[in-house]
Amino acid sequence: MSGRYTPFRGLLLSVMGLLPFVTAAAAQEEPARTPLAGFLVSGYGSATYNSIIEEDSFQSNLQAAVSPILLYNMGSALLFETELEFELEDGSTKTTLEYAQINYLGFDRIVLTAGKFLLPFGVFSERLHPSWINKLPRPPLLYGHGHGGVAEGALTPILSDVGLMGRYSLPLDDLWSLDLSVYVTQGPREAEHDEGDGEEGDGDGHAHSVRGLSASASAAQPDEHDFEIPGLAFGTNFSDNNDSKMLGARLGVIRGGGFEAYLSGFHAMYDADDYLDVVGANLSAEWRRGKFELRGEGAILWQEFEQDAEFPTARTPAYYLQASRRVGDFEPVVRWSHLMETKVEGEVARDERRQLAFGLNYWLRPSVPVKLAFEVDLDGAERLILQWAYGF
Amino acid sequence: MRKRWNLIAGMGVALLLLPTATAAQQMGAEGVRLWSQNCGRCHNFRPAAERTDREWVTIMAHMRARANLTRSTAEEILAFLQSTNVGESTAGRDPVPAPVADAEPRVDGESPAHDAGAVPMPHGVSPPNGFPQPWYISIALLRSAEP
Repeated sequence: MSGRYTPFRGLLLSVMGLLPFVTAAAAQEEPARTPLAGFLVSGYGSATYNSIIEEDSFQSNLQAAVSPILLYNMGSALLFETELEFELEDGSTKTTLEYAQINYLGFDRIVLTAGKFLLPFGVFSERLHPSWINKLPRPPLLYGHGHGGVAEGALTPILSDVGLMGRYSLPLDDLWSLDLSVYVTQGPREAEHDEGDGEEGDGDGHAHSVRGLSASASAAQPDEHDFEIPGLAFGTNFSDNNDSKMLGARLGVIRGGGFEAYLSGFHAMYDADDYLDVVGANLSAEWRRGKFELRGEGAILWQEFEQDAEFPTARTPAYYLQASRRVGDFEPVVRWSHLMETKVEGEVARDERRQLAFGLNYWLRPSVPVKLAFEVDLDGAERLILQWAYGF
Repeated sequence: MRKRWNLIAGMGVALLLLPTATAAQQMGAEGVRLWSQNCGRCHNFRPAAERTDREWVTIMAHMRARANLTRSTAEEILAFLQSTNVGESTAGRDPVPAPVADAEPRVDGESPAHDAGAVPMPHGVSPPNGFPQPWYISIALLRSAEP
């Protein structure tokens, strides 16, 4: 009996024989998850040599910055992400929290975000400012930059703030899609003097305050018109300075990988009494064909301020246009930036700045460019910049 | 008689498997298309071999939040990256991207598939424009179907 073959015994043996394969397949489909399975360190860094020629003076400096991005993917629906920035400044290490956010990814077309996040105002600020992505060593004049002797104004910093954001993506067909982001955050506050006294960030474009529009927000740049327009600080504190919130949105239309355009704007009150408005609007577009890429942004900021018991509004437009083309592993780039005059009731409160930048990049790897750039401020300094950036 | 039944059975099996294969190919093609349309919008295409399959899961979650991709789009791109990730190994991340047959140097605009996973691609392919060539998709699919 014991050696006799029966259908039941055959079935049992078959099942037992299959067990190791089934177990192995199951193990392959769902690998054992360790506590750090979803943890990942990414980020970028750069080393930059600046030489600045201004009238009769010449100076040079070497900068280095590293921005690690810590990602923790908890299941398929939750993602924690944080970007820190370390840089050497005046003999000490400066640390900045660029963003720290939790994303809920459980919906197909909606992403919900809470925490400190990069604001979708335009595109450069949110997506293009990392040094390995930015095709020139420094941001356009629209955005803040300039440590280490490169003190310049800008329209806004790389904007990040504390709050909530909802994003919706709607594919229209195989090529076209709509991209909507809506957010509510604490909003800007009046910058302390040491937050906006002339330095606007580093070569990676990080900064958190706008010296304002700033004709003469501080004593750093006396203004002949005596307008005292406060600087604005975004996301510098987890506490709010007033009861109002900043509301903003961005709507984009995207066509495959060849064209995209975004319209974005925000409104906030920035003083402790919830009285002074600041409004920003931005139109950005990118067109790509083959190895050629053309992108640009135009933005305008209206900022109300108090002056002699009156409340005038400062208005500052700015834009940039950038073209680049890949030629083998090289990539020539040219960019025109224009920070236009700040005007208050028709009077010029701050002079314009115009900048032309030429660059030649050599891509060692897709995320490792060596950039050589020459910037000419049409009303000021000239800079020769060599930067080695690394995205990891 | 027996041969006829074998033929009928074979055709039946083929008919059963055909939709699966077609669906898989469509998924693969969709992944290639979405990858080529989205991943070059802000930055160069990154080689799939830079990360392990598991790391790509986290990276794609990050990119979904950053670039506002739909979940299905992110999943298709992830599947494509993992399928072309020749640098992936059970021992972990391969620090050196696998060598490629493409004679051209690493040029992202010309041959993003080169970066996607060391897939040898003919010169002059430019899917980042959003218009992948049919033969590009075919080669990528064949490559991804390899064991």
